[in-house]
Amino acid sequence: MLLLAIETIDLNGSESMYAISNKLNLQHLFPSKVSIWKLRANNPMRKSQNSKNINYEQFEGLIKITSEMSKYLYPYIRAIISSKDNYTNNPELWNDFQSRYIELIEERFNTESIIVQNLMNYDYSHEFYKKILLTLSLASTVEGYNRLKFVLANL
Amino acid sequence: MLQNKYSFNQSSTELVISGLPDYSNDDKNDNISIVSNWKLSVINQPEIEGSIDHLKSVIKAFYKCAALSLLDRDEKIESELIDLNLDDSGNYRITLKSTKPNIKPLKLKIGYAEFSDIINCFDQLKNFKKIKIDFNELLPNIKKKSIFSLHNNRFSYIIVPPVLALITLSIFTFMGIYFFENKDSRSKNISMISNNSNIMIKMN
Repeated sequence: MLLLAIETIDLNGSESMYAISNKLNLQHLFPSKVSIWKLRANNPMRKSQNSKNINYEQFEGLIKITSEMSKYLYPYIRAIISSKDNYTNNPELWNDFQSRYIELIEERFNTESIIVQNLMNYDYSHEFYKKILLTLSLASTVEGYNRLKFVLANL
Repeated sequence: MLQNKYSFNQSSTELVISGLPDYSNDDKNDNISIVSNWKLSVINQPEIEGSIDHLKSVIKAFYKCAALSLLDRDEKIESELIDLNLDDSGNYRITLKSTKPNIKPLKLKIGYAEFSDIINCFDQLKNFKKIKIDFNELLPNIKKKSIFSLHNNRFSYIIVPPVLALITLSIFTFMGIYFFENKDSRSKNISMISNNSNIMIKMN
């Protein structure tokens, strides 16, 4: 869900993730864009789910990519959160984010699942979208990688 | 002796720390080990400042609140110097309590954006080598969803279904035995009656 939110903000998200993984010297884990996509397909809510288990090194690699992408996108993430905080005066950014996020969920996830249907329901899930953005913003700091790892390990 | 002063910025927030090196700890001239003053400024909010104890309790509360928010756990953070909680409208409500008498607590309300800016400043401070604050005591000590409770759950998942099955099976078995015993005794009774009736007939 975090990577999907990154892709919602960065229209060229999959390319950027691959570029960032190369910058972080993670070529041995993610030799191509497809390898990142395959790992992302481990999410059981996806339409084309990959049942192959993800190992610890790959898990850490994805956290590094998420944290690094958050740093790169922080101004946009902050602007969207700020738009939600001041929704009455400045709703445009939040509305754009939410509609594109829902579009991507609908495109990539199994919409027959009740969890996915709930995720696509704005009234039910707008707090969840906000939490996803808060997670990304707190993952963008110098301590972001450790924080995200701690959170994902304790969910 | 000149005071050292460092500032950390992120979007709407600025954290300024002033202090002196502790030469007994082999500090260099540009280090800060003794924090004499600090100031946290957030746009459209009153400035926060105080002693090192205040700073430590503020950092501790913010780090704990960040971890709890990310873990989606609802816990109130309250201490002698600061209360920090997420309200129903999705804003953080901060109450800063002064150690001086007759000073009312300062109440602030900040959104997620300002909250993440403040955390960002504290993270910068944590990773800044020239200011020596022991962050180990400030990091959140949140109990993991304990392995024990997970085992308890797993234990119940493993044990409860077969126990239920066994109980159900026992109930049906006892019901079956009772039913067949009754049926047997009833048929025996009937044969006794028919034997008796034969005897009666013969006697007649």
